[in-house]
Amino acid sequence: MKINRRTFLQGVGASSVVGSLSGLMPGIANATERGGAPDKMLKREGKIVYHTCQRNCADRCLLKFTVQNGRMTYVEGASEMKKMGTSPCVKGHAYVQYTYAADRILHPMERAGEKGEGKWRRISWDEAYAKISSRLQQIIKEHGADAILPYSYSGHEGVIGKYGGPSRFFNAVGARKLDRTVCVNAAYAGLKSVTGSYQGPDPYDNIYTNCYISWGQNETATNVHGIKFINQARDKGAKLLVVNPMRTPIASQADVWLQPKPSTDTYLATGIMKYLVENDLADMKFIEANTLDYQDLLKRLDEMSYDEIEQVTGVPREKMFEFAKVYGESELSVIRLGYGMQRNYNGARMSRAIAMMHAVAGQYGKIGNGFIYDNTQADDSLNYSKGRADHIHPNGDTVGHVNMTEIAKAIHPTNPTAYGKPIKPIKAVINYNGNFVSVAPDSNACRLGAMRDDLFLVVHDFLMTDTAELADIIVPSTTQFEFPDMGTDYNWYHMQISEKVIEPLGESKDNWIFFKELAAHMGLDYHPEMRVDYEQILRDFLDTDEPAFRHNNITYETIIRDKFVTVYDQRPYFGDGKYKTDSGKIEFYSQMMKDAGYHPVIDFGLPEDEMIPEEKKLPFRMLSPAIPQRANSSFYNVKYIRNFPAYLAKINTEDAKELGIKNNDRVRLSNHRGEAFFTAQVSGQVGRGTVMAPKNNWRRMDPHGKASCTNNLTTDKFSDMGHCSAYHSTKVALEKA
Amino acid sequence: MTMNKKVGFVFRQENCVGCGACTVACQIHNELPENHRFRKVDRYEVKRDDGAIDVWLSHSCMHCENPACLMVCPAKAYHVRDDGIVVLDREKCTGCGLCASACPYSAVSIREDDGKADKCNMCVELLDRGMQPACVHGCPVECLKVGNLQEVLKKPSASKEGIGYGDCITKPNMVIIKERA
Repeated sequence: MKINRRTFLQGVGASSVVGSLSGLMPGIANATERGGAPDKMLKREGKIVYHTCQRNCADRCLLKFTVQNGRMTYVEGASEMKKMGTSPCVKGHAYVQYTYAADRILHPMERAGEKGEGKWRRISWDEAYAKISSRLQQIIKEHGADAILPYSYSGHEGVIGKYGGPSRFFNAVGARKLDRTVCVNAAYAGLKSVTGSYQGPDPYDNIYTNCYISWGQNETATNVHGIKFINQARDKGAKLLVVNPMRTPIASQADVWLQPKPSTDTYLATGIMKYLVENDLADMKFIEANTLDYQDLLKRLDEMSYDEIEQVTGVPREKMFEFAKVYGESELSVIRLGYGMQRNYNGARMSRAIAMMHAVAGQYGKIGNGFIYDNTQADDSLNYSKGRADHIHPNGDTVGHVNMTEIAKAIHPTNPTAYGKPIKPIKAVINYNGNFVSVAPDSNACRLGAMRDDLFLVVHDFLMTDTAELADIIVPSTTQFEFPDMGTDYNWYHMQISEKVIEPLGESKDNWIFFKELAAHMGLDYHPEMRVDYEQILRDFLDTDEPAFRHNNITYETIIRDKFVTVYDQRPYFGDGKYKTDSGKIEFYSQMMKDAGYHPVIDFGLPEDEMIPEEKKLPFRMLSPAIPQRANSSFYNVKYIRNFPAYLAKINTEDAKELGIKNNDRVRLSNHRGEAFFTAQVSGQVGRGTVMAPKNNWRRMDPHGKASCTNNLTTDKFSDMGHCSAYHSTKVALEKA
Repeated sequence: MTMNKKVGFVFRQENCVGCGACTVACQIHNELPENHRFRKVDRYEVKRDDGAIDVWLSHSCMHCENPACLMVCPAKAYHVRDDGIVVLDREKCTGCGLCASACPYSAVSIREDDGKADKCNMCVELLDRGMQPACVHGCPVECLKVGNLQEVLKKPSASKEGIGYGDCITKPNMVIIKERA
């Protein structure tokens, strides 16, 4: 039916939602239409499709898309879901603009000049498949299949989009393995050394807490839908405590905010533990029942003085005591640990100290307390090895591994390495769901490798990213909205649906169709796993015996029917007092830490201990966290979002004064890895000696025209444990430019 | 004009985190040019005893009782509805810009695409259908509402004053509420 104004007005009312307008009065509904613009309502008329946002953020929003004649026209939050409310985040509002962006790549292209020159020739899909498969076959023949490397991470977080589709292809080929431990793995190790688990309670239960502690997390950027639950608790009298080297919005609103120097959290947690012990706020009943080796902890606490803690952290002790008092006197307190804080050379050790502190306070095992880090209850229940068809890799157990954080080292022109050891050269990189030149650390080194003449670079993307511009062949991907999928969140315990919203635009092909067809062109479709449809991939992932799935009666059918399901594991989490360590108790003395070469109780190592002298002597620590208006390197091109600044450097007021820098001045950050230019934002948001620049901005989009990007400066050395990235263990020089 | 029908934006400033979702939700509903914003979010660095904090003000048209825009408009393009919402008839607008200069809250500006004034009309096409304005519906922190002024102003904390916001001769109708000490 063609919608014109008249038919549209007839439809009004039939589909209108009655919101809970606080006290909107009778009479309003009968008010004249004067001043209204009914045409603006047209975009809300149509079929509703439920689709989960697949950007890499803790919220994992379930969204409702309006579709008219095959075109996406409007998006809102699926308010049926408690975490959502009615609203996407600032970025999600613009998903229509994201999908129909003018700069989307809609057909395959091959380079028609030197690498990175920006000259392209349009080719057909048949040509693209022929060129890619013949080059890959040649590489396999000359160097072996393990000379092919996938590079991807979280451009699409869906079950099919992230692994289910693409990984089948790389397993069938027999490609080198990419270890994707960039994100959370330092604290995985640190938290496991204490409680045996990095999972925690359900954030919906934050409304029952008396004290919410945000530690190294900026909820506004990466968990904005969780804030309303914190506020609900606060409205009932709960306290808000924040630890962050940056004054996040939540820090501004906190009862007590501690601003330690970056990565000195071990000292801070130690100081708080000392205070709890000395002021009779340690929960001895809990400690006796649930922990081991408390005496070792007491001994270690005695070895550290408040003077040293104050000096290292820069936090005045009175402030720390104030924090510790509120925390220690709270009946129930819950900690939310951020992911950014552990992307440091001492990430595992810091997170361990914080989890131990929570045990001294006796804050595990009740509704309204606990420790939230990465709630992968739903995700960990999936059958990954079946979903990815790991069994079809010809030598999956013996093939070499490359870590994504070290991509620059792995594709180094003369000296390729992985995990500190020389490796067989990589001859082809297929980049999908990612943009390593912007996102991986040490961007200049990434470019150097990607520009190699003997490296065949294929990029599957829908935008001309910093990585795509260096490709030999670009094949157009769809957005997430152009194929069906599911997704798991990692904060609440949900498994959610992503129904197909629209047909693929132009000639774009999604993360399964592209790899499935490429496999067929390479003669790999003799594997039945390479001939399945979307539903079968999802069913393979859901073919699991995990108790969490079983006792919640979750099946493919229930997820499709209900749009979202909850994979409840345990409530309250650790309520049975059974911890997941070898001993079954919380471990204040950790053999695991000792085996890793660290102090078994508390290790006071700092990132600066592990920097090369040249970097260590630089005056500023650079933090590069997420900002609310971007998701990694996504949304840089999207109308309504792209003008929110992402090339700024937050600088402390006093530091700026000393350097003669004013607001909006151009500044240059530099170290031995490179340089980057930003617009100064001078405030008290960061402490002295700290500068903050948003993560993962693009070189191509740099408004200063200097190919600036934050990752020109960042370190690609690993965190202490878990082979996590350590972006924030980076130092820079800062000057007016 | 009876007071019991009057509506206004109700803003819980203590909970705003400055993310900009309201700005974008409004631009998208109103199909605005990218550099034209009805609703803006400003950050204020407020000095406290031990340092400073950030406070955000999300603001658009205040739907004033004595709207400056209406008073200065030579084309009589402005009109106050029974519910107190100040609406602009863009067909009458000549683009003279007097309203944009007169508004003490910078809520009106001239659009680059057609040279006429434009501003927030509280999404009356949504309100008239029992729905919420785009910014209210599109705030993930839920710190922005539309309320009946008579009801809202009864709250002890209700005020026409906040960080970056104050009452003036035009009698604005945005109310700031605090639920916590």
